[in-house]
Amino acid sequence: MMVTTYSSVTERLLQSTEEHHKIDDFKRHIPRWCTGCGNGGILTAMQKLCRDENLPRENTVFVSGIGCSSRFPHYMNAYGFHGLHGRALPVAEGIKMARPDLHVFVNTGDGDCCSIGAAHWIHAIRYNMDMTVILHDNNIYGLTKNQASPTSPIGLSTNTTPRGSILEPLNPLLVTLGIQNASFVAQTVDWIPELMYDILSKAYHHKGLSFIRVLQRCPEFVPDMFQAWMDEPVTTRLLTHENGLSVSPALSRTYTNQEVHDPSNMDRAREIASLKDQVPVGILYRNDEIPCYEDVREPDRLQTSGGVRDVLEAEFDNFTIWPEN
Amino acid sequence: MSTNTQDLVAFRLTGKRPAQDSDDASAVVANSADSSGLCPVLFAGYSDLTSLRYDFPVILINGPHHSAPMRSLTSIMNDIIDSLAPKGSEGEFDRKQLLELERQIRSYAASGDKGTLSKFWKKAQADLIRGTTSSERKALKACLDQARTLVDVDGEVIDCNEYTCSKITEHLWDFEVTAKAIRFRKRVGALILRLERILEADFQISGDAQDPANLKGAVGDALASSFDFKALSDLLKGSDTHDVLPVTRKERIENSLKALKQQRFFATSYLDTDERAADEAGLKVHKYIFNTCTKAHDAFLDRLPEMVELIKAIAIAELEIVNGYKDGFDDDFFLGFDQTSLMPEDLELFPSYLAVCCGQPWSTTEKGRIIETLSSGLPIKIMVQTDDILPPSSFGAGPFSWGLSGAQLAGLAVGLGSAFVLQSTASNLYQLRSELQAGLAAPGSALFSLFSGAGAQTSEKQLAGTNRNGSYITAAAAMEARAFPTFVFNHEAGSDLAARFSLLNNPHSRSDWTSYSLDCEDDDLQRTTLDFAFTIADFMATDERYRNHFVKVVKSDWVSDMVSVGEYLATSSGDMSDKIPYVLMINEAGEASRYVVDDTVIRATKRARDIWHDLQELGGINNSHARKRLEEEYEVWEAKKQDELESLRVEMAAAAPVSVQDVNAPSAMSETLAPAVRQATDADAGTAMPPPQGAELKETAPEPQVQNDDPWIETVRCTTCNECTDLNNQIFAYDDNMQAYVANPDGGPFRDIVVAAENCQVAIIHPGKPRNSNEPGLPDLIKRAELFM
Ligand SMILES: Cc1ncc(C[n+]2csc(CCOP(=O)(O)OP(=O)(O)O)c2C)c(N)n1
Ligand code: SF4
Ligand code: SF4
Ligand SMILES: [Mg+2]
Repeated sequence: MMVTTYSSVTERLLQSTEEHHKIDDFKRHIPRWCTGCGNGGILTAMQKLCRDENLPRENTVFVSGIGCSSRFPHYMNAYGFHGLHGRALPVAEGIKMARPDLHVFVNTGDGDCCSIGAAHWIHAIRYNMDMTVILHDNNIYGLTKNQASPTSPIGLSTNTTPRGSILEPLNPLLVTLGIQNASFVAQTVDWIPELMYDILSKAYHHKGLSFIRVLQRCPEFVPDMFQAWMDEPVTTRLLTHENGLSVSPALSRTYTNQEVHDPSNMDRAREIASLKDQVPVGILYRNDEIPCYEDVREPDRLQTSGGVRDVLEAEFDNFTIWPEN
Repeated sequence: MSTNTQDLVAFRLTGKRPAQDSDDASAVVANSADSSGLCPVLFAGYSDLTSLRYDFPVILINGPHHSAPMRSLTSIMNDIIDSLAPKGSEGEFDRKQLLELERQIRSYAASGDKGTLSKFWKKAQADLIRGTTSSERKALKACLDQARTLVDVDGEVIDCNEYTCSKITEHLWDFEVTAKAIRFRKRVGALILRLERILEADFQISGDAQDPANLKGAVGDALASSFDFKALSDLLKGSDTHDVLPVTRKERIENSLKALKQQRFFATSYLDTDERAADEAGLKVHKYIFNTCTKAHDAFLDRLPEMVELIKAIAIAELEIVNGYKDGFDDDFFLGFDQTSLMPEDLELFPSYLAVCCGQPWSTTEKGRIIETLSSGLPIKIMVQTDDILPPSSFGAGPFSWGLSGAQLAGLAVGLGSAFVLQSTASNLYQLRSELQAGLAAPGSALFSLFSGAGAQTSEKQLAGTNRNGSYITAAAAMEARAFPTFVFNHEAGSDLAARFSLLNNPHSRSDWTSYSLDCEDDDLQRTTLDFAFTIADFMATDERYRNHFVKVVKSDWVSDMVSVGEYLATSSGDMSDKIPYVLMINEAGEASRYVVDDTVIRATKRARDIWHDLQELGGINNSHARKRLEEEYEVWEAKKQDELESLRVEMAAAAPVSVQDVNAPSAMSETLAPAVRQATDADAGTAMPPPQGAELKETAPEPQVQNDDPWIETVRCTTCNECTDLNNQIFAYDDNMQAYVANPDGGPFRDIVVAAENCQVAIIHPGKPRNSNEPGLPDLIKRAELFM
């Protein structure tokens, strides 16, 4: 993500008085997620990243929609915007456009992103603005207590599908890979912290919109959803590459199913995203060359408050209802 | 030795010209009239440059938005021809017209016309249409009109002459600085905007913003009568007021804003609504191009205090924007911040200074300043133009001693090692445009030592039909003759000479001289090939002023002792005293003859060759140290191999009987392979070998330590799900990375540990053995715990 460049004098002065944050500096409130909820691991990875990158809290913002996962900004000691259901992305885009120097993160659920917010999702990918988007995919509407989401598997019995879900689930990876300008598409699982962190860190460093789908456990409503994959490490396929995951030897001993996948290979990325009997974990696709909307659309001239006011007033004047005299 | 030969040897040694004998047609002829229309054989093919497609003229492209700041006319026309005229006979008509148009434009430029490409094009098109038959006129017009639409660039057309070097350098400088100005405007404009927003926000929460007049302004005239602004103001002022900016901070922001708006380094119009503040204040923007290094250097020094102020203002603005200004600490820092605090990175913000030094000779002060500047690393670029490399005094003291020769200055600058150095000729500048750009863009000082070819005293006739004053041919010949070789020294590139120094595109750079062969007819009208080297002696022969140092020898007087200058100098040993060195020249009729040269020319030629050798060494060619070292190394290696071989033989003899051949096999190999080759073979063998099993594992991670009976957690795999910590926060706790560990195994019953292990979805809690044997229900718990051992 973009980092503001300062003059060398400023750099020196800021460095000399720079604060180094600890993980606790990024914590706020006690999370009100259920015990065992996968969101906890995502939060921890994020707080670690903020600490390791020493992100200035005043220049970091978390934007979310509505859902359990969308409570995320409350638990980060930084700026946050807990918005409307499905509307995290357009809010984040507005923030990035006005303040390209901020580090922008988006937390959205499978209902929030893939259902009510699906239109925004498609266009946000196409706009490719420099931000990190985390899709907390628990295959369920958690906050509203157990309704089927677009990613719920066939047969899942929920409040809205008491006799089992009947539709083929939507595959968020395949959808994202199919949208023009997709520049970083990855998948990870909340239960392997090492990979959760590694992918988050790589997404953060990618210039452009990084989309990470995290398979996130909801023990409250779908306790068995990912159990088989957790019990059988061989069903998890790690995508390794010099431009992809780095896997520690210890983890390699547990997760032996590995594929060297070059993330610039879109065709293979789509094949991997379509795997049914295995969970791919890693960077499926990345392309660092795709321009970011905020860079392409950067105005030639600076928008002063005076200039903006003049334009707005001219527009409002068109609609003023003149008081009767 | 014939009389003639003796005369020639005498001429060679003393410069005394043989007596003229007007009756003897075959005698040595030495009058200058004879030499008119002569030129070196090398030039044979270049009598009319306007009909040749080469690097000139060049178009200096207007506007900063083009990626290429300059292009040759030929390259522009090639693009048009490629897209307009299909290959083969179909496109022949269009191709012909376009090439004719190119020739026309080239001839305007060569005849000294000034103008832009669009102007020249229009004129050439009109001329061509006028000159064509009425039947072809329509097709011609259509072709040229369409071609015109494909030209998406415009700019001044320049030929190769005395102004080429300065024009190209200034144009590329301008290109670089314009790009810098755009970046500056963007950056400083953004700072101004953000500072203004801070002040604006401060105003809005201040009492002033709540004055009735201000409130009225915010509502606008249309609805003003509906409000009682006085009452509104009282109401607002009565409510809580927010903290406004401390006075010192506000002042600091205002001062920084003022300095940013009034800077004079770049012409700027930062903002929509703000007209240029600097303009309003009547401030003139600085100029950066000067005609001496002294002036450029002085201007830089004069402006240093202003630069310091601007850098401070930028830093303060940046700090204020992130609220990172630390009172006290930063106050002290800025108080002590002066010229001595500037870092090279700070200077990169500003335009570089350009000294265009065309008029030689220079004063002693100027010479001193050039050296001082080049060693200072300040962002001052010096373009030194040499018009004449063979001024008559070259052979005495003075100009050929350091200082007035650009070539020597460039050598000196390389020695200083603190500046970017480029040496070349005007004729070659188009080829070197990116190197020139690199030198202008590089931080610090740079020297561009360029030979224009415009001052040499070549006769019009000699270069008959070539461009206006023969600059191109003279400049190109100077490079060919090693009189002014091309090189680039980029002191910032890499850590060794190989990375920093490059001889670029000097022809035949591995040899002493450039050499050519020419097909010609002999006396029997048979085709024969003439091989010749082009030396500085050949180059001097083109110069009227040195005519006295050459004597023509007609063919009947050629003797076997005559050798070309190249051969003469190549023979390092042996007695050459009775050899007669000559250069080959051709006359207007295209007939070649030999001209014997005197000792002055030989010495000048030798000197040019020695300087060339030095450059070759810098460029990694024929490096004398390396050669010597290689020979020494080879001897050591030889001796070592012999020893090894000897001991091997002894060993073999002592061991089981082996045929002699086996022993000799490796020796035969080692004797024929040079060490380098041998090493390469070894290396290859190394890579071909499969890596040891498991080598791809980055490191060997420690196996989980053998546990005693204590409970433990695989902490790195913990997903921070709160299961265990919610169950018992005495036993379980989070570490600095928010991952769980067993903080106190005695913090609760064994049951809690077992239940936590069962609840932990990633199954990383290992309960161990119970610590309190009196705990109820132990047998069952122990059994359940066994699943997590
Ligand atoms: C416009 C609107 N429609 C519906 C809702 C009700 N609602 C709240 S959260 C939610 C679904 C959340 O599911 P998901 O995004 O998957 O989040 P999770 O709770 O699973 O993390 C819905 C439908 C709402 N808040 N606003
Ligand atoms: S309902 Fe599910 S997703 Fe929501 S907090 Fe509980 S476990 Fe997490
Ligand atoms: S239960 Fe397991 S994953 Fe959850 S916090 Fe405890 S150790 Fe970590
Ligand atoms: Mg959900």
